[in-house]
Amino acid sequence: MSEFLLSVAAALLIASGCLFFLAGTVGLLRLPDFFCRLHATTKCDAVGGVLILLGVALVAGADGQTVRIVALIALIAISSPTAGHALARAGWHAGHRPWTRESGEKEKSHEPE
Amino acid sequence: MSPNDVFDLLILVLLITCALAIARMKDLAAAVILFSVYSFALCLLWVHRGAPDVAMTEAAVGAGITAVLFFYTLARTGRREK
Amino acid sequence: MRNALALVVVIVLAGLMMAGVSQLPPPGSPDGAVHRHVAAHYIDGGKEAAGAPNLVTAVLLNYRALDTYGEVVVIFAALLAVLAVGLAGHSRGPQRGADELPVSPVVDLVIRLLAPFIALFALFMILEGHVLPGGGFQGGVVLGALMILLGLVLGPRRLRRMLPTPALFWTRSVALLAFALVAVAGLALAGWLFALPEQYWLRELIIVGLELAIGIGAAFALVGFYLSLEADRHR
Repeated sequence: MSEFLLSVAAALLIASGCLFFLAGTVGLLRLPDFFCRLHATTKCDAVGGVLILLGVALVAGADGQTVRIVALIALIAISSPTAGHALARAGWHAGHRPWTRESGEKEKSHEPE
Repeated sequence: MSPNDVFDLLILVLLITCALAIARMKDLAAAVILFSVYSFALCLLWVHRGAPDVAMTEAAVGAGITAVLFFYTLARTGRREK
Repeated sequence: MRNALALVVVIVLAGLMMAGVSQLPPPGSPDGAVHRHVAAHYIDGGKEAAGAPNLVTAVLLNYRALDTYGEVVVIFAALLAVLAVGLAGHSRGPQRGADELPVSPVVDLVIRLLAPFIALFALFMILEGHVLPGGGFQGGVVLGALMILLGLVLGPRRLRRMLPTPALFWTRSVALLAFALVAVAGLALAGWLFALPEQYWLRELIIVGLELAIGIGAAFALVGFYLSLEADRHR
């Protein structure tokens, strides 16, 4: 019974992780500017990846594998937000400015395509 | 067809798609990133086929370092294919 | 017209290749030609003969050591070519460009936190390569990637200051020198290239030494590529 509950919990974790990946990918394709897309895609690794790894750790159980998975989670939790920060900083200094409704309207009227 | 073969087949389809996209791509920076994706998919295939030594090299060289070196080259030559 | 010709050529070549592939034995089948030739001999005696429990390493560094020597030479030759091209124009070396940002404190902290772990992992891969998957080249590439990462984050000038020129000279050529040394020593002591001594611990020591040399050589070759491309960017 408890084994069944454990696999259900693992499946839920993995499925919600996949959902975050899907949302991040849709956001990357659909959102208007650099910062919004970055905001969407950083959730893929930092949240989706961690959720999937947690699910895998539940399936693996108390094992040597689980220690490695926890180490991986720590690595992702540290490195992925840092990569997002570095990208946002580089984007800002390269001249990207956050999209607003006004700037979007202006762009539309300037480029009548 | 076993689930293992299905996994291999999916990765092979991804590899072919990536290779075609790299060949067609006019934006060379995007081509470099797709090349990283290609290398990483190939790395997964190596692991799945039981060759972890090759997979490690593929992940470190193909997906990591060549991208950096390619980007430096692009910074010198220009981002668009002529 | 040309497209049609290309299509025909591709179809013919693909057909030939598929005909060839269909004749191959299924992967992993024990009757395959590769498994009936020398493979059984390697599996039986590889650990003792080559001083490496990991058979991939045994084949790479002992049975097929001349091949690996060739690969080391290829990387070294590529590095020489890149350095020669870099010398052709007069380089002013890496300097602060107008577009260079100060290091972000967040990235600086994280890189300081992670760098020792990455270096440890690289060293582990190099030294344990004769037992586990991994090995000199893989570990060396991880080490090189770490140094390139440091160069990207902290700036190439600080990386260049950490690596004095004489050290670069020796670290880039150490793999080549180590292979030549082992090959010639084998020829002198036992009569053929890459012959290993009788004692098992000595064999293992030589294999680990070779792995370490390949790792350091690969790492610094990659750093060499990076530094010369970086210097080139400011020209």
